[in-house]
Amino acid sequence: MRIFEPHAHMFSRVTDDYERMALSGIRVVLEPAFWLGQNRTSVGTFIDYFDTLLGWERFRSQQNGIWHLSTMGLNPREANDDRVNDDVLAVLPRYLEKDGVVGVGEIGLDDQTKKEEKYFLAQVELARVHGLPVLIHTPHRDKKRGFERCIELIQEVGFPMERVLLDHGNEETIRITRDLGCVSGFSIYPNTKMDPPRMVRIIEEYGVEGIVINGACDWGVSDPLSVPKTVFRLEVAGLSDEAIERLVWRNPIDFFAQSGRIDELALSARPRLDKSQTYDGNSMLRGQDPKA
Amino acid sequence: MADRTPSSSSDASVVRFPDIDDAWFVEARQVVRVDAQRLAVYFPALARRCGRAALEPGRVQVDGIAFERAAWRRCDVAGHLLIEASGVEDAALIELFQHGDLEERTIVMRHHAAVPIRPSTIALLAEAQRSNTNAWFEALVCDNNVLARALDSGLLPADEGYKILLKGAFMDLALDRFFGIEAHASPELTRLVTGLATEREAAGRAVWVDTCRVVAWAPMTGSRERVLRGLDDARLPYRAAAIDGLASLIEREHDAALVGAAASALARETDAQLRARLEAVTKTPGPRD
Repeated sequence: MRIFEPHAHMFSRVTDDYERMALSGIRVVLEPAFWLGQNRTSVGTFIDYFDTLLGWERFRSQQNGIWHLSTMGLNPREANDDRVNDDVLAVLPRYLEKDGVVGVGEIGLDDQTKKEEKYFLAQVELARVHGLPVLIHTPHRDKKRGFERCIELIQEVGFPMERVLLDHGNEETIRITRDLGCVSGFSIYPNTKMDPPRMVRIIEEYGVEGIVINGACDWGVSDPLSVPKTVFRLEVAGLSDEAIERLVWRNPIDFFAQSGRIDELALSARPRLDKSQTYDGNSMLRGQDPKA
Repeated sequence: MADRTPSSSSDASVVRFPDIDDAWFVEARQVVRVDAQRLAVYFPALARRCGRAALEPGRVQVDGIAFERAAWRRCDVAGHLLIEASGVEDAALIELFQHGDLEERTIVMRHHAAVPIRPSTIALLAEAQRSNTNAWFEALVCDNNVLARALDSGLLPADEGYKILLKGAFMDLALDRFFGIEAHASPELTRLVTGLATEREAAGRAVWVDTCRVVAWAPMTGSRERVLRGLDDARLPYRAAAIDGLASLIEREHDAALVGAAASALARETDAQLRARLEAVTKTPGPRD
């Protein structure tokens, strides 16, 4: 089964994770820019982070047989931080034009403040200017209200709903999003938010149309193999291969292809594995023979 | 796509390229003319928007600048023209490189092949030397005379320039891609290239195919023997390099023993092209002729 993992923070994962993901069928990983566990204090640290996602992280991923794409954005937590918010917004246009950047995100709401709304809307406008879809982070607290507010804001500015991925959904939010024309994302964690058995029940009830699933794996308790494990559960539950492929390959491809920057044919084959390659002079070999 | 028309003295570049008329590019160029900061926003899309098709082959040679057109792609030309239109200074060019992806960095590097040596050229030569990334290295110093011009300018210390050519040898890049570098032959360059060769020989690895050519430009102890050994190398490209090296030695020294070695090699050589070259070498006039 070909898998497009549409939300994984590989920056915080070890190289072994890449290898396990590749062996589990993941061919493409999309890494949204996000919060790093503590607030940054200057725009320079964002710039370095964005450069890393497009540089070393992309190299590290491809060295393990997985294509790496990104979305770029100012996350809602740090949208509240005046030390960085305006400056990050000013550098984003450059990064939204980079090859392999296929959306604006993660943007959205977290504490659901006025400031978060201001920078959310500013980034929706950037998505419009750069012809990109948006990947929206929804709050972990008061989630239903956060979902509804994100949708209200999107509708107020008339951004096309088919270019919207509302992520971190659950049984409650799918009832809100299923008929909107947007894509509903589900982040599958080992213990919280959404787990594989619950995800199977949602798919059984609502089908796979307009749904994507991801591991959202970061430095917290999370699992880079959440999607392959859910695929296994879906197979056991009797879902057809065709429906599963639609869920874990076709749906994310179709959504992010709206950027005009996805070559599905290229993504269908694995990246060429050449361990002798370097990025900026650095390899992953640590002295090993490239052929080992 | 590039022509050989020298520019007016007010232009930053002495090489002109015909316009690219894509609507996106035309707009980008108009914008960066009035707002150079927008260059960084347009630059990432160059390869995607303008394509990577290579130019037709042909050597451009204008006012001391030389490069091979086939090494340039359409996006390289577009990037060069955008940089020129923006009039950005060296610090901005280096910043463009530092925050660019692989393609952007390659385009910034290649731009320097078409303009006079400037401080950003020297800074980026150091990046090329450090990074080990073939695409950037080749864009800056291969299929052009950037390295030779940088050495001529006095802005690049000779030792630094030799290390860059040595890096090229380490990466097995062909000597003839470094246009005009023979004018900077020196015993130090010979020492460096010989050192790489002996190190590889000790490890049982193939040496740089052009070694005999370089060491014969400014021979040191052992260079002559290396060239003579090369005449019997089983591999044709290595024999060709040894013959070129032998020609250089004869031009320098006009030693009858070297001419005799050429005649002897001619008797053994089976390849028609190398035979023709050896025949010419046996008639090479030396400094005393």
